[in-house]
Amino acid sequence: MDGRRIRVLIVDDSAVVRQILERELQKDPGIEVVGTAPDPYVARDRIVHLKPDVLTLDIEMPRMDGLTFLRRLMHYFPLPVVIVSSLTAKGGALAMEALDAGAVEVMCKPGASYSVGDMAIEIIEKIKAAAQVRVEKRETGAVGDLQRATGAVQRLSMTQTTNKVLAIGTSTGGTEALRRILPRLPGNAPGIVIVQHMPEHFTRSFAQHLNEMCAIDVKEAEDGDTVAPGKALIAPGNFHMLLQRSGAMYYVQVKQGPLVNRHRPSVDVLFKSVARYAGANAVGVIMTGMGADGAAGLREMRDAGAHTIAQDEASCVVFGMPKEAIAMGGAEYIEPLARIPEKMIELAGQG
Amino acid sequence: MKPRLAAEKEWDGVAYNILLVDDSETVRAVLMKTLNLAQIPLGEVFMAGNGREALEILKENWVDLVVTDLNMPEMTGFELIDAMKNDNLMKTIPVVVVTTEGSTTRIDDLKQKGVKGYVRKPFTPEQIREMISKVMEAT
Repeated sequence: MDGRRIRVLIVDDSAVVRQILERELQKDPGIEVVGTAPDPYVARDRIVHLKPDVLTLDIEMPRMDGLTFLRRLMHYFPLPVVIVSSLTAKGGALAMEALDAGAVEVMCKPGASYSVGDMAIEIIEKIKAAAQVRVEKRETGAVGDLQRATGAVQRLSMTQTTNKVLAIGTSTGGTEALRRILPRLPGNAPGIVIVQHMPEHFTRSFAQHLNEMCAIDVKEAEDGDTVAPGKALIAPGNFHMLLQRSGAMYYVQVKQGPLVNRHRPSVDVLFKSVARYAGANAVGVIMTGMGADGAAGLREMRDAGAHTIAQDEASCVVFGMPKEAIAMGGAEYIEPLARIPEKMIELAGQG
Repeated sequence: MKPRLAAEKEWDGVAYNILLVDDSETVRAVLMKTLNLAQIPLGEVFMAGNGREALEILKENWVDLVVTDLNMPEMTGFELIDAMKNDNLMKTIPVVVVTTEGSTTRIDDLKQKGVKGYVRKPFTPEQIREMISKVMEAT
């Protein structure tokens, strides 16, 4: 940040939500709300005239739906967008499509279990992360033209994978990064545990979405799930996930607890448990995201004998967490996103 | 062709960007005048003489509604509609057809392809206004 305030436009069809968001965002000295819009047509007008740095967008709106608006926006006036969605199954699925369409972050509206105060902290953080993102113009694509990462990574023999654990931590930009690396892993890849900073409910849609793309099984973790080859567990939003061990078997504990580094799930919580229970049998990967969550944990993993990788600056949407991890001496290798799948498997195959 | 800025921007910024596609400059001018008289809140109005020109405009400009003729040289309205339906971005833009084409099977075919409205030439300003208001309210 160069000290200039981040100029934000709020797009939401609810006047109450617009007011709440504006009031909460104005409390942060680093943010200036330059305008609000109740409808996509007004939003476009404000975007053209006010040139905001970041947009918050309600994905469920009357007339032009938020997704259609987002797709057009990302093509004609690309800018970082934080999606604010309701806490429903439909909202979760829409949020996934929004990430696919180019949104940087998703979060949920305040509700029964989620106060305005909690939301304010989270959205301010997400806006600041989004403001650092370089958004590229999305080209129009032919229908059905899905971008798929190709080049599956070579399989390992069974004996090389059974007692290994891959631990991945990421935040802003991480949904896209995971969508690029997980589909390239072979069906017998070592067991994987993942923390992606994301709200409750959205993690389930995200896991389902990844599961459809991958050779490995991907699911939102439940307390007691075993960590086994060919399977990836994603920490549910609003819960911490820890690796545990029972004899020769790894499993995860999913539990509440205080925010760590202002996050729940926290990458540090996961990585520290992996350092403790898997030691040298683990490979740790820290990828794109703002802040420092996971940096200390990756160092602990490395000290415990694990191989560790940090995503390089050029391929990061936000080079925050990997940068901190490198500064703390936790990163054994620094790799571009495209190289991370092979590197993880290669390191897992080493003794 | 150069985009034209409409005279007024009101409704607190609610304004529609419209693309008019017709090989006759006269028809385009009449449509433009109709839009103004109809008090449809206009943002930018773009003009194209055939389907190919229309696609070029759609690639570069955010358009909310396409009003197109069918029989045009170089690339017809049918071809334009097909091309739009095969593009992830353009397939959601509503299309209204204004044409002398009277074949009901061809019109039904267009509706199958998602065309939102159809106005037969010669048209009255009221017909155009009604159709566009209906389409824009619904989207």
